[in-house]
Amino acid sequence: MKTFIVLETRNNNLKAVSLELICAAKKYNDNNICAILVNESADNFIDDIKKYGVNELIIINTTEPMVTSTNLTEALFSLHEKYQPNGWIFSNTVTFKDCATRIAAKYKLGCVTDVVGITDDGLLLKPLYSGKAIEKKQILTNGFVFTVRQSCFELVQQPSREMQIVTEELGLIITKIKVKEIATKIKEGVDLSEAKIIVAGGRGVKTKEGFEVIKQLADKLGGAVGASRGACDADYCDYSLQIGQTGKIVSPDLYIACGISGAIQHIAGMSNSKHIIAINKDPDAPIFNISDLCIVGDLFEVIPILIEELSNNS
Amino acid sequence: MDIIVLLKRTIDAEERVELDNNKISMDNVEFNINPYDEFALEEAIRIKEKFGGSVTVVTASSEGFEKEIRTAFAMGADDCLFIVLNNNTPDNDPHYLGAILAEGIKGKNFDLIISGQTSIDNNNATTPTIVAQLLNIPCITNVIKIEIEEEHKFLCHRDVEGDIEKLESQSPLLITAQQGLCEPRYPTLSGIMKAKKKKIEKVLEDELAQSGLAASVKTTGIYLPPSKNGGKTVSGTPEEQATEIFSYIKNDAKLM
Repeated sequence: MKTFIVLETRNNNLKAVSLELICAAKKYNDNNICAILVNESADNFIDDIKKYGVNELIIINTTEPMVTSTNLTEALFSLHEKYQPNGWIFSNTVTFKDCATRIAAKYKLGCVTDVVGITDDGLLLKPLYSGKAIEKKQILTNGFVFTVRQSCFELVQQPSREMQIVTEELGLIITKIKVKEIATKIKEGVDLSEAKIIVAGGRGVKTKEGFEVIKQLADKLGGAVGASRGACDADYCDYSLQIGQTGKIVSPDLYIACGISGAIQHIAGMSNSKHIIAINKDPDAPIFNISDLCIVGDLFEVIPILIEELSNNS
Repeated sequence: MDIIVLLKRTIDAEERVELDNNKISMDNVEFNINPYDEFALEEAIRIKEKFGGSVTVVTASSEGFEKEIRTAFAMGADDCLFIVLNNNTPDNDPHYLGAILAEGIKGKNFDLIISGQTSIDNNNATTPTIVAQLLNIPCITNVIKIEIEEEHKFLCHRDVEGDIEKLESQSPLLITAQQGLCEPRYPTLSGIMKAKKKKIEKVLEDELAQSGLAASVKTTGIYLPPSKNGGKTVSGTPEEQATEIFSYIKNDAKLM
């Protein structure tokens, strides 16, 4: 019985979510864990994945770059047919949700997306209605597929063991979808999905220049910058920073919401954060309902003083 | 061009969620068309207005879903296939629902299927992709722009968490709509009048459930997460507020 997980990397280094996938696999059942790496070298992190209990590493090399979920899924199909794994676990991103769902549909495996926890008896916890309720799901089919939300699984190291490494060469992948162009934004600073601290701005930052203060605070805290839909629509920042139902779902240790009213679509993307601080002029802003610390005030007055205090402390 | 729109109704996003007998209570709540499906419907109507053809809504629900279907008609949908689910339908099982929808669609002519990228209730973002896989047609998810230079050829701009992928495919194709694709119109008065006369084709779930179709997942429980009503409110001067945040980060979140 094998569980396949697909590793995610950034600049040849492992993203934290990859280790979380390994730990989620361990928690779900005691299968052999087989990590998949696509078109990359594992040199930088081979010891790391061993420490978390991976039994086997399959490195796939393809003749063309795997740039979208379409051809990546085709590559994973051929792997599934060769190895017949018992299950697949992916991170809950747009690309991997696509892969997960198509594998589930093709091989008739029960599928649960956006898993935030696993109970001791192996039930998957999944938020409904933007996190207003949590469902306990059991997969009934023999095999399984699920995707996990980032930063929801604790990293637990395992006793070191041997890890087998296999390389698979895949030929040309033909799909009915042609890739015309990929516009990847250059991401500055800390990656939003990996960040332990996120400082996010909303319409309350008022201007593009106003958004700078959000960046300064994020820098000072070593965190990432996020935004609400409103701030993106108003062109204060790029859509790649958007957090919410449309956009990224995050669960950092600390989320500081600045000038964000807290529309339900935004809350859907961040309510799972461990600590939430909100700064808003409006005492009735819905963001305060889910915040641990509610600052009723002007972010342009409070944040510069906070930055100064942080500077004095370092 | 004949277009199918997969439509679902959801509880209004702002509604309070309450439990009743280990299920989410559907009493006294406002229902709407799932907002992402509304983008899909609007885009389908716009394509029909440009190229001709028809827009058929396909939906699977328990009885009592007529209000939202009439809204879809009033916006410009021509037909509706309403798959009536029975009381034994597995709860929140995209596999099962996808199989039923795919069976229903098999009896229809179509060039394009559009659906919302997710629904705001269960937020699975899986059912349309399963339908595409079962119908063996390509699928492009999270689309924010569709360019059609010649009929049956679609250049889709796809939002992948801020990155843009431009992918091209031909009919038959399934697309899922992301926020930003278009702004749904309001129905006109004449649209509302015409909508009343349109017929809804009904088919029972049992007629479409193929032998061997079984639940793939099961909901064994549901709970409401503890509310955070204990949040501390700080007014005071900006200096006091900044100090309070500093102390929270250091002592409560322990991130310094």
